[in-house]
Amino acid sequence: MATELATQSARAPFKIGLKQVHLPTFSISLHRTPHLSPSYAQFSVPLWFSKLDLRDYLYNAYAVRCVSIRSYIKLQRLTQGSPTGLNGESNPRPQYKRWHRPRSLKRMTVELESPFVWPEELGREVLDEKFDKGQMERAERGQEEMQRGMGSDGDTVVDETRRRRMREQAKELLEGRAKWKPVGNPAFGRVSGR
Amino acid sequence: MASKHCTSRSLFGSLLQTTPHRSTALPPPFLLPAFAQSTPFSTTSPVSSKPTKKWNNSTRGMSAIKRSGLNKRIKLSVDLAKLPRPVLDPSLRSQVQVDPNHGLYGFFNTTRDALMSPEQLHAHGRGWTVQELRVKSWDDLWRLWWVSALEVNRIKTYEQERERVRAGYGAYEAEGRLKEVRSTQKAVRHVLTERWYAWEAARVAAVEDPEVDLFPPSGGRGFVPGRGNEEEDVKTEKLPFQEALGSYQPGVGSGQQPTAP
Repeated sequence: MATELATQSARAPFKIGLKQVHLPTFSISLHRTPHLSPSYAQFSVPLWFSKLDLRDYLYNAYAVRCVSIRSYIKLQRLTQGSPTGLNGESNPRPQYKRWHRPRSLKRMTVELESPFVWPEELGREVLDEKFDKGQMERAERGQEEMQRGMGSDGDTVVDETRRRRMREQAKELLEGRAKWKPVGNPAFGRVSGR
Repeated sequence: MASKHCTSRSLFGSLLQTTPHRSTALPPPFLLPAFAQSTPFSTTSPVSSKPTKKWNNSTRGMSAIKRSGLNKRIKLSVDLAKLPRPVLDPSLRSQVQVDPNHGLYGFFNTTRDALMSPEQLHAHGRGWTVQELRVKSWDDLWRLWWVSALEVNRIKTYEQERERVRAGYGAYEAEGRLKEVRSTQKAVRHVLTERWYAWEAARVAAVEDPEVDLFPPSGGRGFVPGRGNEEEDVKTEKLPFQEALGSYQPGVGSGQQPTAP
Protein backbone atom coordinates (compact mmCIF):
# COMPACT_ATOMS: atom_id res chain seq x y z
CA MET A 1 0.00 0.00 0.00
CA ALA A 2 2.83 2.36 0.84
CA THR A 3 4.57 1.71 -2.46
CA GLU A 4 1.30 2.23 -4.37
CA LEU A 5 0.78 5.56 -2.66
CA ALA A 6 4.36 6.53 -3.38
CA THR A 7 4.03 5.85 -7.11
CA GLN A 8 0.66 7.62 -7.19
CA SER A 9 2.05 10.73 -5.51
CA ALA A 10 5.05 10.73 -7.81
CA ARG A 11 2.79 10.92 -10.87
CA ALA A 12 0.10 13.28 -9.56
CA PRO A 13 0.49 17.04 -10.12
CA PHE A 14 -0.48 17.65 -6.49
CA LYS A 15 0.23 16.11 -3.10
CA ILE A 16 -1.85 12.94 -2.66
CA GLY A 17 -3.59 12.60 0.69
CA LEU A 18 -2.99 9.67 3.01
CA LYS A 19 -6.66 8.82 3.64
CA GLN A 20 -7.88 6.16 1.24
CA VAL A 21 -11.59 5.94 0.37
CA HIS A 22 -12.26 2.57 -1.26
CA LEU A 23 -16.05 2.54 -1.60
CA PRO A 24 -17.45 6.07 -1.93
CA THR A 25 -21.22 6.46 -1.69
CA PHE A 26 -21.54 10.05 -2.98
CA SER A 27 -22.06 11.17 -6.59
CA ILE A 28 -21.20 14.26 -8.64
CA SER A 29 -22.75 15.51 -11.87
CA LEU A 30 -21.35 17.59 -14.73
CA HIS A 31 -23.19 20.72 -15.92
CA ARG A 32 -23.35 22.20 -19.39
CA THR A 33 -21.84 25.72 -19.18
CA PRO A 34 -21.99 27.53 -22.54
CA HIS A 35 -21.39 30.85 -20.78
CA LEU A 36 -17.95 29.66 -19.64
CA SER A 37 -14.94 28.97 -21.86
CA PRO A 38 -14.15 25.33 -22.79
CA SER A 39 -11.33 25.39 -20.25
CA TYR A 40 -13.88 25.35 -17.46
CA ALA A 41 -16.21 22.62 -16.22
CA GLN A 42 -18.83 22.94 -13.50
CA PHE A 43 -19.94 20.16 -11.16
CA SER A 44 -22.69 19.65 -8.57
CA VAL A 45 -21.00 18.13 -5.53
CA PRO A 46 -22.13 17.09 -2.02
CA LEU A 47 -22.37 19.91 0.48
CA TRP A 48 -19.52 18.53 2.61
CA PHE A 49 -17.15 18.30 -0.38
CA SER A 50 -14.00 20.40 -0.51
CA LYS A 51 -11.92 21.62 -3.46
CA LEU A 52 -9.17 19.19 -2.52
CA ASP A 53 -11.66 16.31 -2.52
CA LEU A 54 -12.88 17.21 -6.01
CA ARG A 55 -9.39 17.56 -7.40
CA ASP A 56 -8.44 14.17 -5.99
CA TYR A 57 -11.69 12.54 -7.20
CA LEU A 58 -11.37 13.87 -10.75
CA TYR A 59 -7.74 12.81 -10.98
CA ASN A 60 -8.26 9.27 -9.65
CA ALA A 61 -11.69 8.42 -11.12
CA TYR A 62 -11.63 10.31 -14.44
CA ALA A 63 -7.92 11.10 -15.04
CA VAL A 64 -8.80 14.81 -15.34
CA ARG A 65 -6.18 17.34 -14.26
CA CYS A 66 -7.26 20.64 -12.73
CA VAL A 67 -5.45 23.95 -12.63
CA SER A 68 -7.76 25.71 -10.16
CA ILE A 69 -11.14 25.18 -8.51
CA ARG A 70 -13.67 27.63 -7.12
CA SER A 71 -16.74 26.66 -5.16
CA TYR A 72 -20.13 28.29 -4.64
CA ILE A 73 -22.97 27.35 -2.29
CA LYS A 74 -26.42 28.02 -3.72
CA LEU A 75 -28.99 28.74 -1.02
CA GLN A 76 -32.42 27.24 -1.72
CA ARG A 77 -35.59 29.25 -1.35
CA LEU A 78 -38.16 28.55 1.38
CA THR A 79 -40.78 26.02 0.36
CA GLN A 80 -43.99 24.68 1.80
CA GLY A 81 -43.70 20.96 1.71
CA SER A 82 -42.50 17.95 3.59
CA PRO A 83 -38.70 17.88 3.61
CA THR A 84 -38.67 14.23 2.57
CA GLY A 85 -41.28 12.55 0.43
CA LEU A 86 -43.32 9.56 1.56
CA ASN A 87 -41.97 6.14 0.55
CA GLY A 88 -38.88 7.82 -0.92
CA GLU A 89 -40.68 9.73 -3.68
CA SER A 90 -38.47 12.12 -5.57
CA ASN A 91 -40.78 15.18 -5.71
CA PRO A 92 -42.68 15.56 -2.45
CA ARG A 93 -46.05 17.25 -2.66
CA PRO A 94 -46.45 20.76 -1.23
CA GLN A 95 -48.00 20.90 2.25
CA TYR A 96 -49.65 23.96 3.68
CA LYS A 97 -47.68 25.83 6.36
CA ARG A 98 -44.82 23.33 6.58
CA TRP A 99 -42.26 25.97 5.75
CA HIS A 100 -38.64 24.91 5.54
CA ARG A 101 -35.51 25.71 3.62
CA PRO A 102 -34.21 22.69 1.69
CA ARG A 103 -30.54 21.79 1.86
CA SER A 104 -28.22 24.13 -0.04
CA LEU A 105 -26.51 23.03 -3.22
CA LYS A 106 -22.76 23.23 -3.78
CA ARG A 107 -21.31 23.89 -7.21
CA MET A 108 -17.65 23.81 -8.13
CA THR A 109 -16.10 25.34 -11.24
CA VAL A 110 -12.88 23.68 -12.32
CA GLU A 111 -10.25 25.09 -14.65
CA LEU A 112 -9.05 22.21 -16.83
CA GLU A 113 -5.59 21.63 -18.24
CA SER A 114 -7.14 20.29 -21.44
CA PRO A 115 -10.33 21.96 -22.79
CA PHE A 116 -13.63 20.10 -23.02
CA VAL A 117 -16.73 20.84 -25.09
CA TRP A 118 -20.11 19.21 -24.40
CA PRO A 119 -21.77 17.26 -27.20
CA GLU A 120 -24.14 19.35 -29.31
CA GLU A 121 -27.65 19.94 -28.00
CA LEU A 122 -30.50 17.97 -29.57
CA GLY A 123 -32.94 19.79 -31.84
CA ARG A 124 -36.67 20.15 -31.30
CA GLU A 125 -37.51 17.38 -33.79
CA VAL A 126 -35.28 14.87 -32.03
CA LEU A 127 -36.78 15.80 -28.66
CA ASP A 128 -40.31 15.39 -30.02
CA GLU A 129 -39.43 12.03 -31.48
CA LYS A 130 -37.37 10.52 -28.65
CA PHE A 131 -38.64 12.29 -25.53
CA ASP A 132 -42.17 13.16 -26.71
CA LYS A 133 -41.66 16.77 -25.68
CA GLY A 134 -44.85 17.95 -27.39
CA GLN A 135 -47.00 15.48 -25.51
CA MET A 136 -45.38 16.44 -22.19
CA GLU A 137 -46.01 20.15 -22.85
CA ARG A 138 -49.68 19.47 -23.63
CA ALA A 139 -50.01 17.37 -20.48
CA GLU A 140 -48.43 20.13 -18.39
CA ARG A 141 -50.75 22.77 -19.85
CA GLY A 142 -53.79 20.59 -19.21
CA GLN A 143 -52.71 20.07 -15.61
CA GLU A 144 -52.19 23.79 -15.15
CA GLU A 145 -55.71 24.57 -16.39
CA MET A 146 -57.21 21.89 -14.18
CA GLN A 147 -55.40 23.24 -11.13
CA ARG A 148 -56.56 26.77 -11.91
CA GLY A 149 -60.14 25.52 -11.99
CA MET A 150 -59.69 23.80 -8.62
CA GLY A 151 -58.18 26.89 -6.97
CA SER A 152 -59.90 29.52 -4.79
CA ASP A 153 -61.11 31.58 -7.78
CA GLY A 154 -61.91 28.51 -9.83
CA ASP A 155 -65.43 29.74 -10.54
CA THR A 156 -64.02 32.65 -12.57
CA VAL A 157 -62.39 30.25 -15.04
CA VAL A 158 -64.25 30.16 -18.34
CA ASP A 159 -63.93 27.34 -20.87
CA GLU A 160 -64.04 29.20 -24.18
CA THR A 161 -63.98 25.97 -26.20
CA ARG A 162 -67.10 24.67 -24.49
CA ARG A 163 -68.88 27.99 -25.03
CA ARG A 164 -68.04 27.99 -28.72
CA ARG A 165 -69.20 24.38 -29.17
CA MET A 166 -72.48 25.09 -27.36
CA ARG A 167 -73.05 28.13 -29.60
CA GLU A 168 -72.42 25.96 -32.68
CA GLN A 169 -74.74 23.21 -31.43
CA ALA A 170 -77.52 25.72 -30.69
CA LYS A 171 -77.14 27.16 -34.18
CA GLU A 172 -77.36 23.68 -35.72
CA LEU A 173 -80.53 22.88 -33.76
CA LEU A 174 -82.21 26.18 -34.64
CA GLU A 175 -81.36 25.83 -38.32
CA GLY A 176 -82.67 22.26 -38.31
CA ARG A 177 -79.37 20.66 -39.34
CA ALA A 178 -79.35 18.51 -36.19
CA LYS A 179 -82.18 16.89 -34.20
CA TRP A 180 -82.27 17.03 -30.42
CA LYS A 181 -81.95 13.69 -28.65
CA PRO A 182 -82.13 13.06 -24.90
CA VAL A 183 -78.68 12.35 -23.56
CA GLY A 184 -78.71 9.83 -20.74
CA ASN A 185 -76.72 7.03 -19.29
CA PRO A 186 -77.79 3.78 -20.98
CA ALA A 187 -77.00 1.94 -17.76
CA PHE A 188 -80.00 3.57 -16.08
CA GLY A 189 -82.39 2.32 -18.70
CA ARG A 190 -84.57 4.18 -21.18
CA VAL A 191 -86.26 7.42 -20.20
CA SER A 192 -89.95 6.62 -20.02
CA GLY A 193 -92.71 8.91 -21.28
CA ARG A 194 -91.04 11.47 -23.51
CA MET B 1 -0.03 100.96 -0.75
CA ALA B 2 0.84 97.68 -2.48
CA SER B 3 4.54 97.01 -2.57
CA LYS B 4 5.93 96.06 -5.88
CA HIS B 5 8.37 93.12 -6.11
CA CYS B 6 11.64 94.34 -7.55
CA THR B 7 12.20 91.69 -10.24
CA SER B 8 14.56 92.33 -13.12
CA ARG B 9 11.66 92.60 -15.54
CA SER B 10 9.97 95.28 -13.54
CA LEU B 11 13.27 97.14 -13.26
CA PHE B 12 13.93 96.87 -17.02
CA GLY B 13 10.40 97.91 -17.67
CA SER B 14 10.84 100.94 -15.49
CA LEU B 15 14.14 101.74 -17.27
CA LEU B 16 12.52 101.49 -20.71
CA GLN B 17 9.66 103.61 -19.59
CA THR B 18 11.95 106.28 -18.23
CA THR B 19 13.34 107.36 -21.65
CA PRO B 20 15.19 110.67 -21.62
CA HIS B 21 12.41 113.10 -22.30
CA ARG B 22 12.21 116.75 -21.89
CA SER B 23 9.29 116.37 -19.55
CA THR B 24 10.74 113.46 -17.65
CA ALA B 25 14.17 114.01 -16.30
CA LEU B 26 16.75 111.27 -15.51
CA PRO B 27 16.74 110.01 -12.02
CA PRO B 28 19.13 111.75 -9.72
CA PRO B 29 22.69 110.34 -9.95
CA PHE B 30 22.70 109.09 -6.36
CA LEU B 31 19.82 106.78 -7.30
CA LEU B 32 21.44 105.36 -10.47
CA PRO B 33 23.20 102.44 -8.73
CA ALA B 34 19.85 101.20 -7.52
CA PHE B 35 18.56 101.03 -11.12
CA ALA B 36 21.72 99.51 -12.58
CA GLN B 37 21.69 96.51 -10.29
CA SER B 38 19.57 93.51 -11.15
CA THR B 39 18.80 91.95 -7.79
CA PRO B 40 15.94 89.51 -7.95
CA PHE B 41 13.94 88.92 -4.87
CA SER B 42 14.68 85.19 -4.97
CA THR B 43 18.15 84.13 -3.97
CA THR B 44 18.17 81.16 -6.35
CA SER B 45 19.13 81.89 -9.94
CA PRO B 46 16.24 81.46 -12.39
CA VAL B 47 18.31 79.79 -15.14
CA SER B 48 20.56 77.05 -13.70
CA SER B 49 22.94 74.75 -15.56
CA LYS B 50 21.11 71.58 -14.45
CA PRO B 51 17.42 71.17 -15.44
CA THR B 52 15.16 70.65 -12.43
CA LYS B 53 13.66 67.18 -12.09
CA LYS B 54 9.90 67.01 -12.42
CA TRP B 55 8.58 65.16 -9.41
CA ASN B 56 5.11 64.90 -10.93
CA ASN B 57 3.13 61.64 -10.91
CA SER B 58 3.43 60.06 -14.40
CA THR B 59 0.01 58.41 -14.04
CA ARG B 60 -1.74 61.59 -12.99
CA GLY B 61 -5.23 61.80 -14.48
CA MET B 62 -5.18 58.22 -15.74
CA SER B 63 -8.25 56.25 -14.64
CA ALA B 64 -9.62 52.94 -15.82
CA ILE B 65 -12.94 53.67 -14.15
CA LYS B 66 -13.36 57.08 -15.78
CA ARG B 67 -12.02 55.82 -19.14
CA SER B 68 -9.51 58.64 -19.42
CA GLY B 69 -7.12 56.81 -21.74
CA LEU B 70 -3.33 56.71 -21.46
CA ASN B 71 -1.01 59.61 -20.71
CA LYS B 72 1.39 60.73 -23.45
CA ARG B 73 4.47 59.70 -21.53
CA ILE B 74 3.23 56.13 -21.01
CA LYS B 75 4.97 53.71 -23.40
CA LEU B 76 3.43 50.29 -24.00
CA SER B 77 5.19 47.23 -25.38
CA VAL B 78 2.19 46.60 -27.66
CA ASP B 79 0.88 49.03 -30.22
CA LEU B 80 -2.72 49.90 -29.35
CA ALA B 81 -3.75 49.75 -32.99
CA LYS B 82 -2.46 46.17 -33.30
CA LEU B 83 -4.37 44.72 -30.32
CA PRO B 84 -6.33 41.53 -31.12
CA ARG B 85 -10.04 42.12 -31.52
CA PRO B 86 -12.71 39.70 -30.20
CA VAL B 87 -14.60 37.68 -32.79
CA LEU B 88 -18.21 38.51 -31.99
CA ASP B 89 -19.78 36.13 -34.53
CA PRO B 90 -19.71 32.63 -32.96
CA SER B 91 -19.75 30.94 -36.39
CA LEU B 92 -16.42 32.56 -37.30
CA ARG B 93 -14.64 31.48 -34.13
CA SER B 94 -12.08 28.67 -34.35
CA GLN B 95 -13.29 25.30 -33.06
CA VAL B 96 -11.75 23.97 -29.85
CA GLN B 97 -9.75 20.76 -30.36
CA VAL B 98 -11.01 18.37 -27.71
CA ASP B 99 -8.86 15.38 -26.81
CA PRO B 100 -10.85 12.27 -27.91
CA ASN B 101 -9.66 10.48 -24.77
CA HIS B 102 -10.63 13.29 -22.41
CA GLY B 103 -11.48 12.05 -18.94
CA LEU B 104 -14.72 14.02 -18.77
CA TYR B 105 -16.23 11.79 -21.48
CA GLY B 106 -16.64 9.35 -18.59
CA PHE B 107 -19.72 11.39 -17.68
CA PHE B 108 -21.35 10.38 -20.99
CA ASN B 109 -22.38 7.08 -22.54
CA THR B 110 -20.29 5.19 -25.12
CA THR B 111 -21.95 7.00 -28.05
CA ARG B 112 -21.33 10.35 -26.27
CA ASP B 113 -24.87 11.68 -26.62
CA ALA B 114 -25.94 14.99 -25.17
CA LEU B 115 -29.01 13.25 -23.71
CA MET B 116 -30.03 9.62 -23.21
CA SER B 117 -33.50 8.87 -24.55
CA PRO B 118 -36.00 6.88 -22.44
CA GLU B 119 -35.35 3.83 -24.66
CA GLN B 120 -31.61 4.06 -24.07
CA LEU B 121 -32.10 4.48 -20.33
CA HIS B 122 -34.52 1.56 -20.16
CA ALA B 123 -32.11 -0.79 -21.97
CA HIS B 124 -30.52 -2.27 -18.87
CA GLY B 125 -30.54 -5.63 -17.12
CA ARG B 126 -30.93 -6.43 -13.45
CA GLY B 127 -28.30 -5.70 -10.83
CA TRP B 128 -25.91 -8.28 -9.41
CA THR B 129 -27.30 -10.48 -6.61
CA VAL B 130 -25.56 -11.29 -3.37
CA GLN B 131 -25.37 -14.99 -4.34
CA GLU B 132 -23.48 -14.15 -7.52
CA LEU B 133 -21.06 -11.80 -5.78
CA ARG B 134 -20.14 -14.07 -2.88
CA VAL B 135 -17.66 -15.97 -5.07
CA LYS B 136 -15.94 -12.82 -6.34
CA SER B 137 -12.57 -11.58 -5.13
CA TRP B 138 -11.97 -8.21 -3.46
CA ASP B 139 -10.41 -6.79 -6.66
CA ASP B 140 -13.46 -7.73 -8.75
CA LEU B 141 -15.87 -6.35 -6.17
CA TRP B 142 -13.91 -3.13 -5.88
CA ARG B 143 -13.88 -2.67 -9.66
CA LEU B 144 -17.62 -3.37 -9.85
CA TRP B 145 -18.28 -0.77 -7.16
CA TRP B 146 -16.40 1.91 -9.10
CA VAL B 147 -18.09 0.98 -12.40
CA SER B 148 -21.42 1.45 -10.59
CA ALA B 149 -20.28 4.76 -9.05
CA LEU B 150 -19.34 6.19 -12.46
CA GLU B 151 -22.67 4.99 -13.88
CA VAL B 152 -24.53 6.80 -11.06
CA ASN B 153 -22.65 10.00 -11.94
CA ARG B 154 -23.59 9.49 -15.60
CA ILE B 155 -27.29 9.03 -14.85
CA LYS B 156 -27.32 12.07 -12.56
CA THR B 157 -25.59 14.19 -15.23
CA TYR B 158 -28.16 13.19 -17.86
CA GLU B 159 -31.05 13.73 -15.44
CA GLN B 160 -29.86 17.22 -14.62
CA GLU B 161 -29.41 18.08 -18.32
CA ARG B 162 -32.84 16.67 -19.26
CA GLU B 163 -34.51 18.81 -16.58
CA ARG B 164 -32.60 21.92 -17.67
CA VAL B 165 -33.61 21.51 -21.29
CA ARG B 166 -37.14 20.36 -20.33
CA ALA B 167 -36.72 17.64 -22.91
CA GLY B 168 -39.71 15.57 -21.90
CA TYR B 169 -40.11 12.06 -20.54
CA GLY B 170 -37.27 9.99 -19.12
CA ALA B 171 -37.45 10.50 -15.36
CA TYR B 172 -39.12 7.14 -14.72
CA GLU B 173 -36.60 5.22 -16.84
CA ALA B 174 -33.65 6.98 -15.24
CA GLU B 175 -34.99 6.20 -11.78
CA GLY B 176 -35.32 2.51 -12.67
CA ARG B 177 -31.78 2.38 -14.04
CA LEU B 178 -30.40 4.12 -10.96
CA LYS B 179 -32.25 1.67 -8.73
CA GLU B 180 -30.55 -1.32 -10.39
CA VAL B 181 -27.10 0.24 -10.16
CA ARG B 182 -27.58 1.07 -6.50
CA SER B 183 -28.80 -2.45 -5.79
CA THR B 184 -25.52 -3.76 -7.25
CA GLN B 185 -23.57 -1.46 -4.93
CA LYS B 186 -25.67 -2.60 -1.98
CA ALA B 187 -25.00 -6.27 -2.84
CA VAL B 188 -21.24 -5.61 -3.03
CA ARG B 189 -21.31 -3.96 0.39
CA HIS B 190 -23.45 -6.83 1.74
CA VAL B 191 -20.92 -9.45 0.60
CA LEU B 192 -17.98 -7.50 2.02
CA THR B 193 -19.79 -7.09 5.34
CA GLU B 194 -20.54 -10.84 5.46
CA ARG B 195 -16.86 -11.56 4.85
CA TRP B 196 -15.83 -9.21 7.60
CA TYR B 197 -18.19 -10.81 10.11
CA ALA B 198 -16.82 -14.24 9.18
CA TRP B 199 -13.28 -12.97 9.66
CA GLU B 200 -14.16 -11.32 12.99
CA ALA B 201 -15.85 -14.51 14.28
CA ALA B 202 -12.80 -16.54 13.24
CA ARG B 203 -10.47 -14.10 14.98
CA VAL B 204 -12.47 -14.25 18.22
CA ALA B 205 -12.48 -18.06 18.09
CA ALA B 206 -8.74 -18.14 17.33
CA VAL B 207 -7.96 -16.25 20.52
CA GLU B 208 -9.30 -19.19 22.57
CA ASP B 209 -8.16 -21.94 20.20
CA PRO B 210 -4.76 -23.42 21.25
CA GLU B 211 -4.14 -24.84 17.77
CA VAL B 212 -4.06 -21.33 16.27
CA ASP B 213 -1.08 -19.08 16.86
CA LEU B 214 -2.19 -15.48 16.23
CA PHE B 215 1.35 -14.16 16.49
CA PRO B 216 3.52 -16.78 14.77
CA PRO B 217 7.24 -16.17 14.43
CA SER B 218 8.50 -15.12 11.00
CA GLY B 219 8.47 -18.13 8.74
CA GLY B 220 6.20 -20.01 11.15
CA ARG B 221 2.64 -21.17 10.56
CA GLY B 222 -0.42 -19.64 12.20
CA PHE B 223 -2.27 -22.97 12.37
CA VAL B 224 -0.34 -25.68 14.13
CA PRO B 225 -2.55 -28.77 14.45
CA GLY B 226 -2.06 -30.62 17.72
CA ARG B 227 -0.33 -27.66 19.38
CA GLY B 228 -2.49 -27.80 22.51
CA ASN B 229 -1.85 -31.55 23.12
CA GLU B 230 1.93 -31.14 23.52
CA GLU B 231 1.59 -29.33 26.86
CA GLU B 232 0.60 -32.60 28.75
CA ASP B 233 3.94 -34.28 28.02
CA VAL B 234 6.09 -31.29 28.84
CA LYS B 235 8.32 -31.90 31.88
CA THR B 236 8.57 -29.13 34.43
CA GLU B 237 12.06 -28.10 35.42
CA LYS B 238 12.96 -28.92 39.03
CA LEU B 239 14.18 -26.21 41.28
CA PRO B 240 17.48 -26.79 43.26
CA PHE B 241 15.80 -27.42 46.67
CA GLN B 242 13.40 -29.92 45.09
CA GLU B 243 16.36 -31.89 43.71
CA ALA B 244 17.97 -31.98 47.17
CA LEU B 245 14.79 -33.26 48.81
CA GLY B 246 14.52 -36.06 46.33
CA SER B 247 11.21 -37.93 46.57
CA TYR B 248 10.23 -36.22 49.85
CA GLN B 249 7.10 -34.13 49.47
CA PRO B 250 6.33 -31.69 52.29
CA GLY B 251 2.75 -31.65 53.56
CA VAL B 252 2.00 -35.22 52.42
CA GLY B 253 1.51 -37.33 55.49
CA SER B 254 2.19 -41.02 54.73
CA GLY B 255 2.60 -42.20 58.33
CA GLN B 256 6.28 -42.91 57.84
CA GLN B 257 8.81 -41.09 60.01
CA PRO B 258 11.43 -39.18 58.15
CA THR B 259 14.69 -41.03 58.23
CA ALA B 260 17.75 -39.32 59.50
CA PRO B 261 20.11 -38.15 56.73
